[in-house]
Amino acid sequence: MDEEKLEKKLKEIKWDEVDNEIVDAHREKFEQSLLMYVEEENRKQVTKRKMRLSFAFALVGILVFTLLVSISRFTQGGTFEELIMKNPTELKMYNDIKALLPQNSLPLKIKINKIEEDKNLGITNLYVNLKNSIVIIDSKQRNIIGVGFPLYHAEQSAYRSQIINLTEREIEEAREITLSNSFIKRLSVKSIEVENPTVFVDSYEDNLPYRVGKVKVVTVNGKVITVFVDLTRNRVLDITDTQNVLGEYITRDPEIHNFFYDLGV
Amino acid sequence: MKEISDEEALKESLVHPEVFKIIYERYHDRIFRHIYKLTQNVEITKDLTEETFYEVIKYRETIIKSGVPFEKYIYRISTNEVYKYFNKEKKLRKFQGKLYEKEEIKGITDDKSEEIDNEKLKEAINNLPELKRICIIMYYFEDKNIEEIAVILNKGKSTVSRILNEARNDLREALWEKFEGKE
Repeated sequence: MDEEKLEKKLKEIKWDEVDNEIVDAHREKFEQSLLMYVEEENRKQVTKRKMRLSFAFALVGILVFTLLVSISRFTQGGTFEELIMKNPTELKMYNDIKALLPQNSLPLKIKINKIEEDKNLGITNLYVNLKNSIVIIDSKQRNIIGVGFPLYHAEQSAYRSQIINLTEREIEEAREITLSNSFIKRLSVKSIEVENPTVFVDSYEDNLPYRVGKVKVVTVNGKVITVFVDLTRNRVLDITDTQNVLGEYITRDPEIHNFFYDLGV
Repeated sequence: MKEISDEEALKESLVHPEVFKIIYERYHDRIFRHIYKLTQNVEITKDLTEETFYEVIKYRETIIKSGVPFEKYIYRISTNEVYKYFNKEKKLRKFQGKLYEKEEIKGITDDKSEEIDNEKLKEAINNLPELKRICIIMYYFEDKNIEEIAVILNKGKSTVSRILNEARNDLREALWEKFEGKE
């Protein structure tokens, strides 16, 4: 059979058509259920769209929050880094540390590892990459108020400030600051003794006044806690608890635990 | 009053379901007839027509976004439904262990008359593989041109031409013995 014949035949042939009645009957019968289906499908779409929208909003919210936190951290970190690096006292201190390091050691680069704010004390602790080194910042004034190592290391450290005598008034102030401290208040205190001469003025600069009183707090059990008080700003800077007097408090009270953890005690 | 276009009606139906009636009334009969031509079975045609409209409703947004004219899209969906049905049928037959006769185009040799009649040609068309059958029916019995078939099947024009040629060859082969004898 050649192509032409087949083509002709295919054009001639009449393919079966469906009866109009069948088509009409189906159209009428199916219409109602189809329209109901459209309605149902629209409802589903609206729900789906709402869910997608909520999800998108939540996602955007999370992203914005993360971004803001990152920016804030970055800005804060930058500010503090600037504060440390531009401060002559700090530079001097790190230069001193550097001088103590062996000649062939790697170059010393100061980096802030962790920033923790203590809202109760109004201070921010900057944990830097030198052993036990913390820089304490006045959260409100954005000034360095504590330098170098935690104060309880000051006496043994390479960095040492001068020792001076406190006045009677300063001694009284140191006692008051210590007594008003919420952590000390929880203890059964037997005596509070402000050491004199005891003050660490760990500033190389005259324009950075920083007077610290060392207060010895003795509990009823005869155990000793040392409190370093910033007399210039009327606040407790550091508490040392070498005899672990506060151990039981620390384990019981998460707030205290965190406080000492922050201080690196 | 200006007549609303298919695409507008489809879009509007997302908010007002009753507008879908416009689409339904415009296309029900055409799609029903189209499917019937391909399947030659009323019950199957009913099912597949319904499936076609359900699919249209489900994918309204995709159809609107696609930019393909709605008419072509609905034909594409319905033809696809037929194609899926044919495939399912084929698998079922295979599963049941029956020889699917349509797989192999048999020569129509049992006819005693010399002229090839329409019924034999129809039988040969119905014995064509699915895609070839669909192309032949759309081309010859629905007066669709190659371009339209290509859009409906979502294939290239050259592919459709090739399928049509192959289908014609298959038909010739199936009818060969008959005509050879005559010629």
